[in-house]
Amino acid sequence: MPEIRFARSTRRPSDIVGDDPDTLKQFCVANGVGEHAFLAEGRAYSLDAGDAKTRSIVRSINSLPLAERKNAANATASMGDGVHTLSAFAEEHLSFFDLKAINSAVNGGSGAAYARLSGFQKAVADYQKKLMELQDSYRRHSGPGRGAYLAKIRQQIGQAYQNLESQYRAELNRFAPEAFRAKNKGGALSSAGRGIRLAERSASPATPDPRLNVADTIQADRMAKLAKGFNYLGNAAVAVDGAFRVGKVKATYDAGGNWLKESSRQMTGFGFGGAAGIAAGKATVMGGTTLAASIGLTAAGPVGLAVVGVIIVSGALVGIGIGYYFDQMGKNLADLLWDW
Amino acid sequence: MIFLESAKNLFLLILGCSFIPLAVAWVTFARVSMARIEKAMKRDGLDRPCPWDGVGGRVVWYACAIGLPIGPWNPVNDPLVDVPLLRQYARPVDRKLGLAFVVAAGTFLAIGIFGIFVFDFS
Repeated sequence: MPEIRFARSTRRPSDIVGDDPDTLKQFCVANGVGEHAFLAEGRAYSLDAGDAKTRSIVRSINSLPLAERKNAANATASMGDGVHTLSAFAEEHLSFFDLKAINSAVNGGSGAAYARLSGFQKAVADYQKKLMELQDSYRRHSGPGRGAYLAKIRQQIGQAYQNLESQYRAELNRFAPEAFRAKNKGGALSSAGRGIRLAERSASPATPDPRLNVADTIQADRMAKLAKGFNYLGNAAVAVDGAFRVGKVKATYDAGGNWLKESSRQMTGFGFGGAAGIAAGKATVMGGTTLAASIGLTAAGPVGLAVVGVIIVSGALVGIGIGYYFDQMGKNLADLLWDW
Repeated sequence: MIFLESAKNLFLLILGCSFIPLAVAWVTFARVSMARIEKAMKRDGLDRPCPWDGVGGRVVWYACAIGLPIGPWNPVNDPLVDVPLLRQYARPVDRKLGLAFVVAAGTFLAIGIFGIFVFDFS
């Protein structure tokens, strides 16, 4: 798994790897840049020239818009050495869509995207926004009043973290162990002090470029594919069911039976089964989430998310089960109507 | 009268009758409310709030999100649909249609599930 870095300032490849011609050439090939070209600020690159995947990963990250790349670099910088915290966070709690929502809430500040974020995500977004403000001010704000201004932001960070800690203790403990709380250890989620330290350290010009564990990108990609996959799966199930029913009508026709009656049976079954299956699935999900909420699991938390997964799957299963019975009822009703 | 010959047949008649309001409410809500809301969202540059849905099952989720009051049965942070966003786009008539849909679907389901346990449909 190659390690991706984000260029903090514009410079030449030789500023990064030195003047050795072979190394320079390998670096340029792996990152798709010319030897005398500049790496612009925010551009992703990797030193793992030997890894076969490096080139395609670097290219795919660099194809993101500059704003998103800078956002990723900033987030990586403020999460510090806790790359594992970040990747666990993204993998377990934030789907690809939620991650996008957090980023747009941090950028946009308000509006519909912000309303999307449920409690925990919103608290994290507020905290991250403050950290990034500190990082930015630390680098750019100079002259009189700098100390007081930075102190004010640090205080706001403390408040944002307190809000996170008081309301979402269970989720927080999962990503930042309690043992790190009083120490200067772990990622930005460990404590407000750690977050402030990481933000300020990453803002100082002497530090190396922020690094990103690429597993995130691949996982994000997988999440998007999975969501699309569900969509296709749903369509395919209906198409298969329809084809199966048409097949039965055709078989009745071929056997010289009353195919019109068979087709009305199948259609009524399809309508009853489909309607009841979807509605019962929704009812199960509703009941399940209510039950989960009553025992203290909110859908926002990472634990809650696993529970929600189980509830949704059981909702689909109940839907299929109920759909079967309603299908039978629909067919029986069609028989009665036909004979009436 | 074939429907009065057995309790099972009478049950099927009642179930069939309860399907009619559901069908009407389903189509009305989907065409009048859901289609308009999604069009308005698209115009505002927003994604559809149910990326998981392929076949139209989301209409049930929309109806619950809009028709029911916020509470344990219609949580704000529903994992499958963006409830606050949908409610922003809903007009009073959408709320009424949504509620009618939820009531019709609930009635149809309750009658049918009663039948699963009382009669043999396997």
